[in-house]
Amino acid sequence: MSSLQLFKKKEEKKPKVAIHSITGCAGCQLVVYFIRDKLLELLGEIDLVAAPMIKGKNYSGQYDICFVEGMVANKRDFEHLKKWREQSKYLVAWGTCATHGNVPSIKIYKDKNEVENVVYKDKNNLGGGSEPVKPTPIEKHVKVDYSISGCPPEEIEFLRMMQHFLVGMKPTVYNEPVCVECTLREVNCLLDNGKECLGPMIRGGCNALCPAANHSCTGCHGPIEHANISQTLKLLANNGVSKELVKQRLQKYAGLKFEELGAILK
Amino acid sequence: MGRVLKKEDYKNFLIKFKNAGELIAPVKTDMLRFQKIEDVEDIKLEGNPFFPLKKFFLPNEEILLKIRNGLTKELKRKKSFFSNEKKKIIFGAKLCDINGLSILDKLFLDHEYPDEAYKYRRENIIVVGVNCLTPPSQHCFCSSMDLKKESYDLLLHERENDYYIDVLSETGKKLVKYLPEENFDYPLPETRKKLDKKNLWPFFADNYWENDSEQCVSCQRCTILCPTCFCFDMFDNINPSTRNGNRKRKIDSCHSKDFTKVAGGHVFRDTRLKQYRHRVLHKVQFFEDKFKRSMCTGCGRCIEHCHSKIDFVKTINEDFK
Repeated sequence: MSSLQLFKKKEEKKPKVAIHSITGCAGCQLVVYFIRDKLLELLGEIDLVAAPMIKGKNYSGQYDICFVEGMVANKRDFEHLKKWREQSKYLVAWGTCATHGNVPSIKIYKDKNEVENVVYKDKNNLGGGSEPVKPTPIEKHVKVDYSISGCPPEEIEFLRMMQHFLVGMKPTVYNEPVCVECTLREVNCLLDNGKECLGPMIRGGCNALCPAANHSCTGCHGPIEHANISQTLKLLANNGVSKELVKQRLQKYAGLKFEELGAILK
Repeated sequence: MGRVLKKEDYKNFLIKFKNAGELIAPVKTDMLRFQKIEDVEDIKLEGNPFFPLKKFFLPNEEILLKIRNGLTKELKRKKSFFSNEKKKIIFGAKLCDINGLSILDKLFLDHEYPDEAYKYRRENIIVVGVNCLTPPSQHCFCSSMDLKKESYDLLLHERENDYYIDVLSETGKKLVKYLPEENFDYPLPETRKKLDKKNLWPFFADNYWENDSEQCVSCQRCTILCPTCFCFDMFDNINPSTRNGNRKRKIDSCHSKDFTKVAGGHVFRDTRLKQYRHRVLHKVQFFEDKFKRSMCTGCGRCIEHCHSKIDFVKTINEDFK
């Protein structure tokens, strides 16, 4: 509440926004820069002070809102993250890497050396803070004010959050399972038809993109907090989906979160 | 007073509708859905469509208020708000869905402040029902829910040699005035499944609620597909410039965790048990207490389309004794 009123009272003082990135594919940042129809309008209302992907000169003072994509995969990532947290009033985890660990966190369930040997030519000679650590989402390291998951997240969710900040509301993030939008789109339920859809336990907001294209939800948005994991797994088992496949699907985007919610993945 | 339609005139009868406005009827693709009709041969009347009739009267999402340059423009029955909504004729709705409308009428029309958008659609959409000869699904239990013959303009009842058309409204009368008159009281279908109506207050704290709600995955399909679930959420959709935007209402569900969230973050019905119990009791107990009529119309969609096939009818019949 306070944030927005502050912005509105002194209209000449636009909120300072930063978009930063640590280990990740940078796809989540691209989502923001691809908001073609509304980006210019938005840039008129905010002061995009730091965006290393599209800007040469980046401000390093205090930010009002800082979006961070990517997850902590090495020591340098952590140093950056700590700095941005200190600099910013609100820190938003942007994308599934930042919120749940995403694909890099599959490493947790594999043999560490095997994975590292594939990625690094000579892992003993990295230096400069690039030594790999356990891949974890940023909320495990610093306090995160708001999380928007998605691989990549939807641009509408970025716009909605900026709207809320600009109008002075407490930002809310869509928090319903995929099934809701899927049913509203009148999609023939894949789970009822014997497929391996993870819809009931995954956070929606994607407008059921995959199920509407007859492709099972693989869970790129990560689980909703109140998901009934055990019952959904039972339904998948009833559909004859192998335990191995379910395990892989759960590990793929948000293994750590699913473990917190009670799924056994090791 | 009704009318009689010969079987050979059935197709022409539908084509007449198609010429009168946008004809919407159930079509079988991968599922049975209400759709705009291009060819009247596509219409399929066996089975109950996936999505109930309510979506034409209470859309999943609609604009209530527009903000232009910081000024608001309220939703009145002005043409501009509905100009893209053509006159519709919905054909092939079952009596359970139509009774759903009469329950929505109670909530959105019989009130000091009728809902403008709902009222407009209710006045401008012609509903032509079709009576079920046999229950379309094994989950149907409408014959125990006291369905009333109301809230439609016309209703087709198939007989051995012809169709009997029941006429309720003036608009409906105009559409069929060329047909011969007859007086006939059409029978309602008899379903095998029945809800044993009883006072559920003594079972409020029963363990069986827990058994059922443990299987619930909070997917909200039961409420979205219910012909009488009307709960909605309102939110402002404002452009980044904060000068333009709109206020929308969107379908909401009591099975959502945010549904009972209040300022400060407290959630009243925080467990699946409370959410599930509230939905079932609202349908068959709370509404009955207040309006002397069950809110459930017995279409069975909440059971048929539930992922876990949770059957509240079975629980009420067998476990609450």
